[in-house]
Amino acid sequence: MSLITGDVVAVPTSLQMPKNRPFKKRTERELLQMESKIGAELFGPIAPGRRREFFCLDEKTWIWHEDGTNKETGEKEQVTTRYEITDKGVLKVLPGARYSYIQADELDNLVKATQIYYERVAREVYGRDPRTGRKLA
Amino acid sequence: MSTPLSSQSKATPLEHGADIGFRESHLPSAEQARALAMQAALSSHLETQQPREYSPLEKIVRLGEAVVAMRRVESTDNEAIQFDEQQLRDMPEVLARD
Repeated sequence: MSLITGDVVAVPTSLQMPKNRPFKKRTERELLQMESKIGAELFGPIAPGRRREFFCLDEKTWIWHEDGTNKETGEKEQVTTRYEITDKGVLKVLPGARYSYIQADELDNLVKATQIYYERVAREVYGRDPRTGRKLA
Repeated sequence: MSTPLSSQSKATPLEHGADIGFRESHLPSAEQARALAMQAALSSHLETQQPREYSPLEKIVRLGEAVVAMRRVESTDNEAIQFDEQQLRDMPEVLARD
């Protein structure tokens, strides 16, 4: 995420989703950060000291990122995974030029995650009904 | 049946059209034609009414497109863009859980 939107240690309070709308206009970068905050929650609780991001970068790219300190070694570690949608399937790109097409459960899990991401982001960030696109009252 | 080809003096392969099975009686009657047309229209209608099943790949792409569309419209970077709700017309099918 930091590669895309800058180093975000904590989401500034100004970017947190307001309980009482009206929706305030923001830049694409700010919206992406708000989406990512929701995306990070889709995979369960995050251990203290760790940071996770999950967001839709563009129509055909989804990013998963996690970083933190290894409890045993004390070393900082981070993993960024790109899921690139190609004609042949979903290509998972890991650091070190490791590529593989995801299948079976991993593909199912990605589909579910993107569905929930879309539904929550539509409602909570954009104030729209995810099924119709209409603005929520 | 008199056809332009049947008036030719020599037989040609085309003149044997009758021999390849064509008979005027094989043409559907007006009633049959109407029934066939109605059946075709009904099939087409049912086809469009049935929810389409999206592959996992298609689902991810459609969801990504929808997210990006909302982001572009709502951002200050693109004030002039209007959100087209039609872009989400297939979302009920895309969001259908297996």
